[in-house]
Amino acid sequence: MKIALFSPLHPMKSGIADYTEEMLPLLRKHFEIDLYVDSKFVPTSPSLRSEFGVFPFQPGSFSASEYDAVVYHMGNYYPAHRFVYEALRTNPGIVVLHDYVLQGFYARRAEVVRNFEGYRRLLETYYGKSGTEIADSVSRRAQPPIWETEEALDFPLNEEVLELATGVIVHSDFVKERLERKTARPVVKIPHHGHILKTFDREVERKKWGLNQDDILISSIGFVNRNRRYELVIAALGKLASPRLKYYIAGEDRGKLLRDLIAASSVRVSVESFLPLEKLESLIFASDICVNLRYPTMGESSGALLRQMGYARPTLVTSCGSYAEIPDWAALKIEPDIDESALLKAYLAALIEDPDFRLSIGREAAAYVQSECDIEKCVSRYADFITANANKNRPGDRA
Amino acid sequence: MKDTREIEKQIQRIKTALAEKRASIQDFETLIGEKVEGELWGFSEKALEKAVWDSFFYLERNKDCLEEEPLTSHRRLVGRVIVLFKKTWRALFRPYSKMILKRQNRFNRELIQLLLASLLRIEKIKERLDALEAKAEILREKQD
Repeated sequence: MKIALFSPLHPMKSGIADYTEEMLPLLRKHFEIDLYVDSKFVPTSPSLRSEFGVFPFQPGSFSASEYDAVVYHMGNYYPAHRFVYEALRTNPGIVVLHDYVLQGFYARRAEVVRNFEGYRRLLETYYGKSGTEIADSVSRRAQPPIWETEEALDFPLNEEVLELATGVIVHSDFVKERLERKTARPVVKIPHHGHILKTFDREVERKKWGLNQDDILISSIGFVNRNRRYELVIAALGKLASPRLKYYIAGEDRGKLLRDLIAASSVRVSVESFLPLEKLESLIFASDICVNLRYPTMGESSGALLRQMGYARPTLVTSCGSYAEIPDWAALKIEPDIDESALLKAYLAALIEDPDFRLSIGREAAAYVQSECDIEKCVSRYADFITANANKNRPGDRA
Repeated sequence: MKDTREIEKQIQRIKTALAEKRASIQDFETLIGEKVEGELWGFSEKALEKAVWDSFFYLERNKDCLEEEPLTSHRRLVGRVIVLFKKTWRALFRPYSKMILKRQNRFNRELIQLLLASLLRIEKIKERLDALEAKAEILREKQD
């Protein structure tokens, strides 16, 4: 079987690029694959370039009929997925929906292509009066934008993508259940796969990060957004007031959200906007505790979280969306309620004081990722779903 | 720790300790960990209820901002001239001020309605809570 696969790849700074690049060598065992990429980027991976057909996507020249299936990796980050969306609009296919909420994608697209009317019409088509109100609030640049609020789950703006999909792959029951209420297309949950782990020497890595024996390194990774709850994390660490604590945030702070928080904090906080993968993994490995809070959720699954858990780090997550599906013993889950701040502080205090507790949770986290998110099993399920839904992209075959 | 059950126990211990701490906290400022500005925080439940309704009735009485207050002046000799000047001034700008204040009036009326509805809802919830607490007490006594 021959498939065309549309996905962001490196050098695009995107978790989905990491995800796809890890999966491709295994998916290749099942299919002959042509990769379609944004014409503005050339994939940096030499092995991808040599082992796959790599084509810059040109709207007029792509012919879906040459393939048995077309697979699209769709997400909310406009720069990474713009070409994926443009291709999907003209050639229906199997969609891997990495984010349930696509509001941010569409809003950014309206701005870039200067077609706000089209965006408003789309919102109106799917949500009526509420849709036009959303369009108005986006045009006024009302804060926070809808995709940073709880309301986003009620108005995800994924309907157009669902209509164009011949089948949908998602990573959580949370998203699957929601999609099945909206579409008759086949929807399958395939867990986000665990990452391929490297071997590190912990002492060596900790030295690289300038840590002493007694230091406790806490780290968070990923884009700095409001929903990452950094104000709570930094405040909780400040209240713990331990000189042993170091907090490292690896993620691009596009909205300059951290500047004031850090200035007002007594905790040692370091921020690096971008770390290459090897350094990022070294940071996770050197860490004693990882924090990966997100609320409200956009229905995403976090590759960063699986990396942290895969490396056996005790990780704190918000108990919502796909994160609520992690077993209680594999990550410390915090409800986003009145006790959020107090529980965060209590968990951090317990983890800091009790190395045995850290080790236990880390060990269970790694075991969970190994058993439930095994990359070979996930790829095999991808292959089954693609095979079962192949050829539906051809004219006349749509459900 | 040997297994997942031990982890769950430890998590439960942390949550229980937190719940106990919260239950033992008597005042709101200790609970939220910072000083709260405003004298209302020191009130008992009964005093708070009275303050809430007093404030509500004050707002209710004064919701009509089109209602004109009498114009006066504390000056003996030139007072009448000043009052006349104020009246003329007010009459001159009345059409414009009415236009704005009518909108404000509508807003005030809605807000008062909303406040009243919310306060009545709280009353009803409180009544239900009292009834449930009474039932729970009876059940507890029976169990003992």
